[in-house]
Amino acid sequence: MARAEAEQRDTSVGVGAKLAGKYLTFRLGEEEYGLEILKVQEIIQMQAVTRVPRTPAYVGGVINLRGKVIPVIDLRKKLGLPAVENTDKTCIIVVQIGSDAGKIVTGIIIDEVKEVLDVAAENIEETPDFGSSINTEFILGIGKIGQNVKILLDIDKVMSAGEMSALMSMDF
Amino acid sequence: MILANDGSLLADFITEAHEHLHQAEIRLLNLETDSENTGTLDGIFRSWHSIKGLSGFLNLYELAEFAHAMESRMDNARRGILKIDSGFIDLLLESNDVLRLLVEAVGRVLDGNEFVLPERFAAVSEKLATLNDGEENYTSAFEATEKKLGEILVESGVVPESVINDALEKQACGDSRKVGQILLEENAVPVRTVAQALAAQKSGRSAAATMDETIRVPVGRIDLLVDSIGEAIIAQSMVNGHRVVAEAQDQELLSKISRAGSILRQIQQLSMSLRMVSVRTTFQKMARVARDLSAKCGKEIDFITEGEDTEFDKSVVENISDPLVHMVRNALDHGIETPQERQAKGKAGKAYVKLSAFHRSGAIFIEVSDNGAGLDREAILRKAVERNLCRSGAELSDTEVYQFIFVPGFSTAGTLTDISGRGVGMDVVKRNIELLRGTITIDSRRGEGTTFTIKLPLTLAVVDGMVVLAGNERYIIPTLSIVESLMVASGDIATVAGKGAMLEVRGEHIPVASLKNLLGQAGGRAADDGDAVVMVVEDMLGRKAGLKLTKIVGQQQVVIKSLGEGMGDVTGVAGGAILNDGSVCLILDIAGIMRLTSNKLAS
Repeated sequence: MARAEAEQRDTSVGVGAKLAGKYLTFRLGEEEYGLEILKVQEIIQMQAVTRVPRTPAYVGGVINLRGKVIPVIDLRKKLGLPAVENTDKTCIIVVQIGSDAGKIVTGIIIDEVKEVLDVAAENIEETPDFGSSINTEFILGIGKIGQNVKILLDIDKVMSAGEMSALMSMDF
Repeated sequence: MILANDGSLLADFITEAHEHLHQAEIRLLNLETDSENTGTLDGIFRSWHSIKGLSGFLNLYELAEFAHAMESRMDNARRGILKIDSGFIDLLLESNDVLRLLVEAVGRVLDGNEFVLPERFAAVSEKLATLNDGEENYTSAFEATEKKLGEILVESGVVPESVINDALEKQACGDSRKVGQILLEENAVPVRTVAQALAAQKSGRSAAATMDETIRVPVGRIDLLVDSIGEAIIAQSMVNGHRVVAEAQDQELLSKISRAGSILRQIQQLSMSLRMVSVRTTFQKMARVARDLSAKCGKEIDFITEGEDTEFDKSVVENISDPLVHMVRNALDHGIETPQERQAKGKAGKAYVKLSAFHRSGAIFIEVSDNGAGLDREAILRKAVERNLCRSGAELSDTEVYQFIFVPGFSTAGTLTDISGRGVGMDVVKRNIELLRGTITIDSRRGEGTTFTIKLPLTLAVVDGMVVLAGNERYIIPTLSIVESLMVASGDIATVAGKGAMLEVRGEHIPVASLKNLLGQAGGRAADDGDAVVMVVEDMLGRKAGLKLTKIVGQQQVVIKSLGEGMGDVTGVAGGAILNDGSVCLILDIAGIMRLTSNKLAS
């Protein structure tokens, strides 16, 4: 018993240590998520998005970022969450993903930006296993700050995966 | 062996060495037709000498030794001790290749791999070492130099200073003859000596002339510059489009803004020209490919190039190289006939493969042509029917039949050679050209030859287009693809059984599709949607289609921007453009739109 617990703690510590660091947290619907701050290039106001025909529903379209045209993803649709109306808090996080050789700049539409949090190793836990039907490979881990839980997203995997199944509201 | 060296020193060495090797190769090829050119011989020697020195400095022993062997042979050659014939040039070309492989091996060490000697290293080293010294034939006492004739003669010690001074004095006294002329006419100096000195001077001058002052700039920096200037132009047009400016009456203000704009556009032209390089090096590479291949196939050809000074954007030149290599190989392997076949067919003159580059009507063209056997229309059609690409007995124009060779895996070659015939090439060639937003067309006459024409946009960046409104979204259609536009009433469009909606334009029946429908706009499916404008567009093959739109907004020149790698390829969309109001407008790709139209008709 004690050993199993110790092992559990060990792996958690392992995950925590790897993932500790600064995250940009934001809200989508009722939940809060986090993105590795190093991948965030900038945050911009929501603006008119030019629709691109014949693209998956989660592709919002393209926008003009200081003369460069970048694609914008509707993260709600990508994660399978129900759609909501944009508010004046809706904005776009511009991220840089990919290797050094080919950095891809993309925008993500989110409901509200929260803050930059320094998440310590001991506050990060491995993603619980929901069973084989739920794909959780785009979640780096779960961060706990006091009572709040933030789902730390692996933004590279989010972008590269196709249409993903719904992230149901999870009770941790 | 490679010792722990400063990585950036090695990286610089690799770049420089490749340049030297490239120059040497070009000069070696020139030697075939002009083996006595001292400038060329010296140039090759200098290239290898430099590599030897640099390698030695960096403790790259194998390279230094190998380069030394090459440079000694070249030294012997230019001093007339070794005879310069085709076999010698072959060996030197091969050595140059091996040296290049050695440099690449160093590059791989930088990536963390082991240093591995190229396969041919031992064999070629052996050949270099055992070259027989030939008889003395051409010796020149002079090295290529830029100096004056008199100086050359004096410095060589061949002519006493007093003789030269006499000649110069004569000139000072009003004698209008050149120094060389005076010396010859007075029999003061033997003819051969003067001739050699003149040759040395000429090659010295031409060697110097080709070394334009250049400065090496990282490509990334130029790209940043071009991007920034692009943004500046957009910013400027946003100023122009601002209500206050657009409605301004103040002439002074307007003229100042206009001047700022034209200066910006000038800067933009200049910055884009920074990236322009001539196709000369690429064509010369093709010459090498053709030479090696014609020897391998036993088919002697004339390799002709035209328009080598035509300039393209650097990225175009780099990306066009592989497709061209493939086409030249195809021409030699399948197009050109063997000497026996040529004779049997009664073909006069020499077989040739020709590369030409030129600008015309706003685009750049590269043609690869040969006077070989031409494409076998029947064989291609048969193969196409076999592979279910078209119905047997279908009526297709020559152009349409030839297009089948671009289908992946398509090959009518009876036997595969290791050169071509596997059918993996032409589709890749076409894809590479399309990536450059270009097109490739074929013209061929059985028994006479084939010409491939590659058409590329002159500026990768700027598109002249027509802004149109379809439904509630704006799109840009490139002007090059537009034939005409018409107003139509709903009765004009007839639905022809099996062919969908058609419109008759001056006797021609053109398929029509609603643009907002094609592009998946909500509510775009209603048959009578009130759109009354039809724009007739045409693709590279001359096929027409009519696009139903709501309104034509106006003509505009825009900078085409890729939609970002995150987006991937979207059929029917070539890219995005930023309009004056800062919004992004999609630029349509007519070839893709045609495909969408025919898919729709097929479904």
